[in-house]
Amino acid sequence: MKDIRNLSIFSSSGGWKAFLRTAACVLLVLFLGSVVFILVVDPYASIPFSPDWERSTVGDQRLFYPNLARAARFDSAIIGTSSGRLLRPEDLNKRFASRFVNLCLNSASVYEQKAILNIFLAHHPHPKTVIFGIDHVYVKEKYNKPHIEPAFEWPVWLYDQNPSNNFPPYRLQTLTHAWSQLLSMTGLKTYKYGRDGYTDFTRPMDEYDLNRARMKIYGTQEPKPVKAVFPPVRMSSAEIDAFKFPNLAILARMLRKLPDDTVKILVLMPAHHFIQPTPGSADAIRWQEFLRRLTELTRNLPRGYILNFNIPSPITTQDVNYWDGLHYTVVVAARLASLIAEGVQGNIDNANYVRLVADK
Amino acid sequence: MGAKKGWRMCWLLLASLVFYSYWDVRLLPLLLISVVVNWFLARFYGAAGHPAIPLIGVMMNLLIIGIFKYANFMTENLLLVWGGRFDPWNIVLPLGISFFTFQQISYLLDLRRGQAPVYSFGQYALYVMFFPQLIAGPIVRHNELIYQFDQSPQRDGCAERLSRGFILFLIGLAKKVILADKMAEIATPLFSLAAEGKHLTFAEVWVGAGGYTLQLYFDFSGYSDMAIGLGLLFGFTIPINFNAPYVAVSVRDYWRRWHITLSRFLRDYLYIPLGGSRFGLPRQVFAVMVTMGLGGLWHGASWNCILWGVWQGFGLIANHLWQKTGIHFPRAIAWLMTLLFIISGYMVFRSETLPQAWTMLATMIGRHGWSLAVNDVGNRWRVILFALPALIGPTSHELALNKLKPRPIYATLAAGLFIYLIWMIGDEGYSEFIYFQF
Repeated sequence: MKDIRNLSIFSSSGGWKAFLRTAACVLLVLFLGSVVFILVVDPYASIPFSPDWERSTVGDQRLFYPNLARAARFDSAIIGTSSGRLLRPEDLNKRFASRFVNLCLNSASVYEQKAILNIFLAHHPHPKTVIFGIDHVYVKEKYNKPHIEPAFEWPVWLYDQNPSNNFPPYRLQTLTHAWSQLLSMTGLKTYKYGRDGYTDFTRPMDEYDLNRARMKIYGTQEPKPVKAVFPPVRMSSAEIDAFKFPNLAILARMLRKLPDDTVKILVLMPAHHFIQPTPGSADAIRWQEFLRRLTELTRNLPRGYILNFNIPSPITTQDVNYWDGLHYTVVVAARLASLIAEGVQGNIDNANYVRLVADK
Repeated sequence: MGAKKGWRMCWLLLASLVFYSYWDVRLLPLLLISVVVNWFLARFYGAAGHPAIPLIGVMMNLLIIGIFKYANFMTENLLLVWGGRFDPWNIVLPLGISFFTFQQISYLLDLRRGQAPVYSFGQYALYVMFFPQLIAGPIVRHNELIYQFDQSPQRDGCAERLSRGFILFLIGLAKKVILADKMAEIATPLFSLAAEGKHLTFAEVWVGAGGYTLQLYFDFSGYSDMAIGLGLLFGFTIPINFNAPYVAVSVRDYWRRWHITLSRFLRDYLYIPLGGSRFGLPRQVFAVMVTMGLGGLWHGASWNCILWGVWQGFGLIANHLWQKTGIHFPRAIAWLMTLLFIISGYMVFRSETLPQAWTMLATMIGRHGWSLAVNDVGNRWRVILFALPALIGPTSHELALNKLKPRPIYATLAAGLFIYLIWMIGDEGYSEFIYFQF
């Protein structure tokens, strides 16, 4: 090996100058080429001066759904987590005379739900209907901030509504998404995400395996009964008052942003009854307090409705309705859409939900 | 600007300060004060000539590193002996303290030995803070770097230095981003599980051990390649730090190939002053054990690190005694034994506690069964595949500084790889270099 301290090894031959020139030129071409590619394709439709082409969702919802939230073809939205993703806008549009977009994000914290709603409201200041899918994330003391896990990386730049930083990060993922977007735009490849945000992320129903579902719900293939805690846990009113629900404050802010004439529907999503708070437990007390405070939120809220599907019901007690404790099947999703309409418009009681109304 | 020495040095100093501040601005004043005080002491020694002055400087440097790096460890252990409860102090470890302190100690000792002149402040400050090697080495000696400050980077050979420097930097970056970080993804979860007391199978511990062995090498040698490559871009040559350590056929050979500049420092400023091999075997054993034990402590304030250093000391002594017998193992056997010795040392070095290290070592020799089950079978093959560049083929220095020919296809591939790595870093970020914590 040459001794690198021996400086005489370094020559200024034309060969090395050409080597440097080539490397610099290739670098420049690759850099500029990739930047122009991102600018023109604009995978997330975030760059104001990019060509006005229709762009699809071709990957991570958190990156692509802001584009849907801005789209003028919608006037109503569904906000929530994966528990709301199966609500099909088509099933709701006729019932509410609205044009829904499903903006539910997988494992979305409430902060993230608020962020996507803010974008929707910035482009649709007078929405007709907004459905909030309320599930376990609202009840916890966490989930009031963006996720930090790499799997759910939160693209702050896309949600801060600051037009000066709308250029996507210069990285491999952006280039890959730009490439996928190009394939989608040219029709060379189709992606599973619908134009209204709806995606059936579950397996086809002919692959449904009840034993597998039960394993996920109960941890065994044999169904287990819900055993009430006995004697039931008792808490003082001071202890109950001390419960903190930081996500309800975020929900309150979201509701306050909505105009009076917007129909606001808070749907407590139907988790399987086995994972609902066990009667007599501390969780059940916390849940009841959550419901009470949630109901208080809608006091004097114009056109506000709460439908609690998170109860033991014909839907939630049937294992066959679920893939796991949280995620129901598409069959249930279709039924849910009609039940929501029924509960809001018909003032009809049903074994599958309870309408919650603040005491006068 | 490059042609004017004064401007060039100012620019490099400024760049070094910005570089250090980028990583951790909180302790920039400590670095600056350390440089200024050491330089004043050197200057004072130059004027007064009292031999105690450099020693005061050495003590001061040891005190600083002792406070910032070892205070918690020493106090905790003293209280363990004397009895008492200890809540660790919240001391921030200054980035690169082990490196810039050792460089200054080496200079002061050379000054005292009459082997170093008193440099101007600019020369001295740039020597200590020259950014490519400031945080994680190589540990450069004053007489290897300072004379180069006089040389214009635009001197003859500029294009070749820039080309080779770029390629060496690129290889280092690839080692870090592609190899080291991928190995970390395999090794870290396994060591974490072991730290939590979870049972790992025989195969899992070996996968973790192999993964960490490669991670450590690619991470640290990658950083060294980047530092040396960056140095070349600025027209400076920095001594190499690694020379294919995992092909070593003895422990002694390994320490001539691994972290070469640290080995050199320990040899010249600790082992030889302690007597080295000049006063018989017992004294040599003492010198080796103290040197390697302190070398272990240099890596981190923990018993694991000390024990790792002592383990290396044992290896060196055993190596020395074996050599005296005149018996030679076949090369392949010698290599395998050396590698197993090194890996077993890393298990102690990497584990969070000594019991964890014992458990993992016991699992490695089948004390907890011989299960070949691993969580991800692919990881086994990934470790084997990633071992190839560490074991065969040219080293990064041979490749970049010797074998590389100025062909356009290489330039094109290098530029392509460079931008791809930039995209990868944008995607996944990068984990901090392991040696930043030392």
